[in-house]
Amino acid sequence: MTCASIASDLVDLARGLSPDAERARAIERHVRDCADCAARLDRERALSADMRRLADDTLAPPLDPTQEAAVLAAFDTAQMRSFGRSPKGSRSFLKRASAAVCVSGAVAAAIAWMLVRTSTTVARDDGGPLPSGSAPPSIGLIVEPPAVGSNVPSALAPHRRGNLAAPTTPIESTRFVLWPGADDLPTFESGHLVRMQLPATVVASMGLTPTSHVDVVEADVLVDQGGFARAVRLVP
Amino acid sequence: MSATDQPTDEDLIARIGTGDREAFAALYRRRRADVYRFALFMSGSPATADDVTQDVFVELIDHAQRFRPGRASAVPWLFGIARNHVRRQRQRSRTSVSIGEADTRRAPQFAVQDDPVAGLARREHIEALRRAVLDLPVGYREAVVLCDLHELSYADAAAALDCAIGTVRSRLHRGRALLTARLRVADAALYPAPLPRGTP
Repeated sequence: MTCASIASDLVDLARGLSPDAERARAIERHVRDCADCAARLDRERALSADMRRLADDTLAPPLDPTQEAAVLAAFDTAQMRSFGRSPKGSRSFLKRASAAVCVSGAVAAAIAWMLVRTSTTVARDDGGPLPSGSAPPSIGLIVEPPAVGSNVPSALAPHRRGNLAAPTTPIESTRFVLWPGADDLPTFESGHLVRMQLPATVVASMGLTPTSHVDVVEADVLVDQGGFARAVRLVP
Repeated sequence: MSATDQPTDEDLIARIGTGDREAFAALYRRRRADVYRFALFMSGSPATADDVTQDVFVELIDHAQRFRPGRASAVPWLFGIARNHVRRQRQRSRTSVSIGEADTRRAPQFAVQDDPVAGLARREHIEALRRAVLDLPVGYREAVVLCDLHELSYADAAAALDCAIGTVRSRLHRGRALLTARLRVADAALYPAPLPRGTP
């Protein structure tokens, strides 16, 4: 047994790890006869003792309630965002979120297309500008903000065709629900309401159920500063 | 509830993966200090250690479901995440870490000393060791911090570092040799030079 062959064993011995019994006896015999290895073993043991002192003397600061609250808030936020997440993890959630955004975008585009088509029909039928205060909404949900309570598309309702031509029936107002794929509007951000008529099937997919069987319902859509829909409610 | 009734770290991580807030809070309170100390030993900066600790647990929220109990235990897994964050912090700062340049807004916490004189000498000696650890090359420092300061087994350290056990062992031994050489300069009495061959 040479000094080089037991160098690693000396470190392990100093750290409290023991080789098998036979090798331990051989190392012990070598160290007894070798001053270099005996000194090295002493140095390694001193270093191990100092490392334990360093570890013991280095304490983490006391638990900071603010930091804990911040971490827990991050947890809560993640849970809110992943309400539809499958056990596969966040990647799957992102796919679902993307799909929800695409679906909601497609719905919004379809609604906008129908509204634009209807407004075109109105202009052609009437041969003049739309009545004051009843300007048709622009494409999508980036709508000029009417005052809350105004009834933008109502003037167009008699001219609607197909499913959208069905008369609206008064219904109970509801609470706001999140627009598919959207987050709640942050408290520090302002938004505006756009009242419009939506197909009942669309609002039903968002969890809103009209009290009566109608094809089209009135709804307030909460639009954020970026022009994206955040929430929707049914209105009487 | 007795100690044996406490859920293991692995149980808590599994529950975190299902959205259990209480499990997350429990693991944070239990392992925050370990993660902080690892980050502090690796970075030398309390501010960085704070940031890394927060980052580790925030990352845990999304990655709890990736934890595989059979591959590694929880602490090495958390250290592995912390290691990545320390590296990112280092890449961002691109500054060499030494205790003299480290953030001094909040000094590391020390245990209470009974004897002020002995305590001062001990603290100086410990500080010399702390500086020597911080001056180690990163690969050696990681092995020393995990194996000697956190007393992880070679297998757990290898899991944290994502390398072979033999690699951890050799890095640890090399790191300790460097530490001894540097401390010999700082404190010749405690770490005498090897005797010439044949000296009685």
